[in-house]
Amino acid sequence: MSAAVEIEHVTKSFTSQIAVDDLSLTVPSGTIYGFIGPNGSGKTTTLRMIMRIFVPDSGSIRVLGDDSWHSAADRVTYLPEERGLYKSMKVREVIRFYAELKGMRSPQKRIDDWLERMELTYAADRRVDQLSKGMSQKVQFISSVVTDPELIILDEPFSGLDPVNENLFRQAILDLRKEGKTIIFSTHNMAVAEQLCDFVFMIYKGRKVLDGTLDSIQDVYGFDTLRVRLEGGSLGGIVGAEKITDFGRYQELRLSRGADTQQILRELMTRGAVRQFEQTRPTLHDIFVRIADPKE
Amino acid sequence: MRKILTIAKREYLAGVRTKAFIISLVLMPVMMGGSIVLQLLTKKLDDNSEKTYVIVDRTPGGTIASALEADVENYNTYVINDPETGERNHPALKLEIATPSANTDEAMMQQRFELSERARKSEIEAFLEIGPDVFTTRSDPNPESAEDPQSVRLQAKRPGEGFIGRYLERRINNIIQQVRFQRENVDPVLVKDIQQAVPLRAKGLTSKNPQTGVIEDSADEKRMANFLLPGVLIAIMFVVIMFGASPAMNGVVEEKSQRIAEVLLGSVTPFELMSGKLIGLVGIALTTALIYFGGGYFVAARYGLTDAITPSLIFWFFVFLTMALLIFGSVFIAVGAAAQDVKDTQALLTPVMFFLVMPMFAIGPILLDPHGKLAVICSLFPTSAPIILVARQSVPPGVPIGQLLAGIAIVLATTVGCIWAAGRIFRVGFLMQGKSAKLKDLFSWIIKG
Repeated sequence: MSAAVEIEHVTKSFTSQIAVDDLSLTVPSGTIYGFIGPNGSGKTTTLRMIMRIFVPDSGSIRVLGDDSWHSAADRVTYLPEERGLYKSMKVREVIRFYAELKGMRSPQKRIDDWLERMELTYAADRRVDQLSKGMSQKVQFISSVVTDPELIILDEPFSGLDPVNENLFRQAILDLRKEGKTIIFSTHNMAVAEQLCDFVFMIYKGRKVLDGTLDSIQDVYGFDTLRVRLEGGSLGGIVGAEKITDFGRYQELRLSRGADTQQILRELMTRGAVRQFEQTRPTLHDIFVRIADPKE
Repeated sequence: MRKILTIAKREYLAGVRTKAFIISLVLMPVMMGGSIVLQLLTKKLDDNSEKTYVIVDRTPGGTIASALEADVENYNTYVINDPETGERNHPALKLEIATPSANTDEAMMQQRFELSERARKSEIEAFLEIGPDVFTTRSDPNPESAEDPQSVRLQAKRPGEGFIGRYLERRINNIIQQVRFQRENVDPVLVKDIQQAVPLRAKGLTSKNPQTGVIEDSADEKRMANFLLPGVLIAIMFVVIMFGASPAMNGVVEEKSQRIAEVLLGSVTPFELMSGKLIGLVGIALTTALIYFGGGYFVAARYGLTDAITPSLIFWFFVFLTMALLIFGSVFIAVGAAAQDVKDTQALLTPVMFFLVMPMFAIGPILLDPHGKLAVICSLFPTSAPIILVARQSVPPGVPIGQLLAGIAIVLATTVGCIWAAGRIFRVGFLMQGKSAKLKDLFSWIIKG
C-alpha cells in the first residue's frame, strides 16, 4: 500500500509555543485516517502543514509522493473546521469557483451530481447566507470533493450535523474510500472515529501519543474494563476497581493491575442483582480521556 | 495564471454586483446631469413676477427718481427677457416715486416706518432712499465711511440686493456719474473711451512644426479649462481609488473572519491570491473610472471644454490610474490581511490615507500653478506622483518629458515595491487569528517575511 502522506520528524512553532513536536506519521493511500486530540493539541496545524498552508520549521512532508506543493495542490482538498464560504455567492457559483481554483474546467455536471447526492439540488440557486448550518456544511463538503481529489482532508466534518445528515456524510465518506480516495479527518466524536476510521492518530501537546488501527490501540490497554449493570446495590469500595464511571444505564469499572474479576463478580452478587457483567477493552473515548486528562 | 484569473473574475463580479457599486453607477449620471436639471428646475421656481420698489429721492429736484422712472420700460422690455426666446428670466419692476419727508430725523424715521409697514404687508417689495448728498464726492473713498446722506439705503423684508437691487444700484451710480461729469464739463463718452480695458490673452509657447518647419502660434489658453480639468481628474482618481480599494480590503477581512482564507490557500499560493484580488480590484476601479470619465466628458462637452481632453491625456489618465490602483490596492489588501475586523483597518489605514490624500492638501497651489515648484515636487513623490502627473499633463504644454519619465520610473518602482511588501504582509497576516497587528508588526513581516 503506497503512502498518501508521509510526515517525517516535523516540528512547527508559533512564537515561543511548539504546536507540533517531532511528528512522524504515514497515511496509507485509500484509507480513512482519523486525527483525534484535545483542542489546541496540534491537529489543525498538522492538517494545515499537509495542505502546505503552513511550512514546517523542520522535517519533511510528502503529499501524494511530492515534496513540492504545486504538483500535488490540485489533487488535495480541504474542508476547514469553520466553513469558508462567501456569503453573498449562490451555492452553485461558490462550488464552481472552488472547483475552478482546483483547475477544473467544466465542473457543471459533477456539481449537479454531487448536489443531488447530498440532497441539495433544491438550494442550488440560493445565496449562501440563506442556508442553515447543515446546508452550508454540505456545500463546503461538495466544494471539497467535486474535483475528484485523491486526498481529502476534513477538519471536523460532522460537527453540528443532525443524525440524518451525519449518516449522509458518513455514507459519502465511505463511498469515497471505495473509489480509492484517501480521507483524513479530525474529530472530537470518538464514536464516529471508531466506526469509520481504518487508522486513528492522536496528538497531545504537539506529540503523537497514538497511531494505528483501533484494534492495535485497544490491544495496548488490553481487557482492563468491566461493563456492569447492578440492580439494588452500589459499586462503591469494590476491591480491584481503579475507577468507576457511571453511564446511567450501566457502569464501567477500570481494573487495577492483577485484579481478580471472579472475586469482583462474587462481591457484586452479594450487593445486588447483576444484570450485566462484561469484560471489554476500553473504548476510544476512554483511551482519549485517560491520555488527555491523566487525573481521570 | 488561470487560478489568478479565476480569483480576479470572482473579485470583479462580486465587486460590480454590490449595492455600493450599483449606487455609484446610478449616482454618476445623477450627479452629472443633476446640476443641469437643477439649474433648469430652479429657473422654473424663480419668482419673476412684478415687484414694486418705492424710490424716496432726497436729491435736489429728485432728478435720480425721474431718470429711473424713465428707464423702467427699457428694463421691463430688454433687461429681463431672453432676447432669443422672449422668456422672462428676472422679475419685472414697477417703480413708485414717493415724496420725501422733511429732512429731520423724526420725519425720516416716520416715513421709513410707514414704508416698512407696507413692505411687511407685501404691498411693496422694498424701498430705496437716495441721500441728498450723493452727487458730492467723499474725501474718504471707502464706502464703509459714507454717511446716510451720501448713500442709497435699500430696505426690504428680506434684505439683500437681488437682481433688481443690483440693477438699480448700477443705474443710480450711472446717473450720479453723468451728473458729476456734467458738473465738471467732462465728456462722459470720452471718459469711457479712455477707460477702455486692454485684455490679457494667455497663450502657450510658440513652436515650430517639425514636419513643415513653419513657426506656429499657440492657441489661446482656456483659463477655466486649465483650472477645472486637473481638479476634475484628481477628484475622479481619488474617488475611483477609494471605490476600488476599500471593498477589496473589506473583502479580505471577511475572508479572514469567515475562514475562507484557509480554503483559498489550500488551492493557491498567497501571491497568486493577492495578485488575483489586485487584478479584480483594478478591473472594478477601471470600470468605475470609465463611467465617471464618460460622465465628465459629457459635462465637458456641454461646456465646450472637450478640446482639452486629448487622446494622449486619456491614455496617461488610465496608465497612471492603473499604477495608482496597484500601489494603493496592494497596500489596502495588505491592511485587510493584517486586520482582525473592519474596525482594525481604520488604525492601520491612517498613514496610508495620509499619503492618499496628500495631493489634496496641495491641490490649490497646484491648480493655480500646474507647472510650479510644488507641482514638480509632488510629481516626483511616489504616492502622489500618479495623481499629480495626470493633473499636470492636462494643462498645456503638459509635463516636460524628463519629469514624465522620472515620474513613471518612480511610480513603477513604487508599484513593484508596494506589491512585494504587501505580498509579504498578506502571507503572514492572512492566516493570523485573534491578534490585531500593529504598524511595527507589518514592517517586521515585510523584513522577515
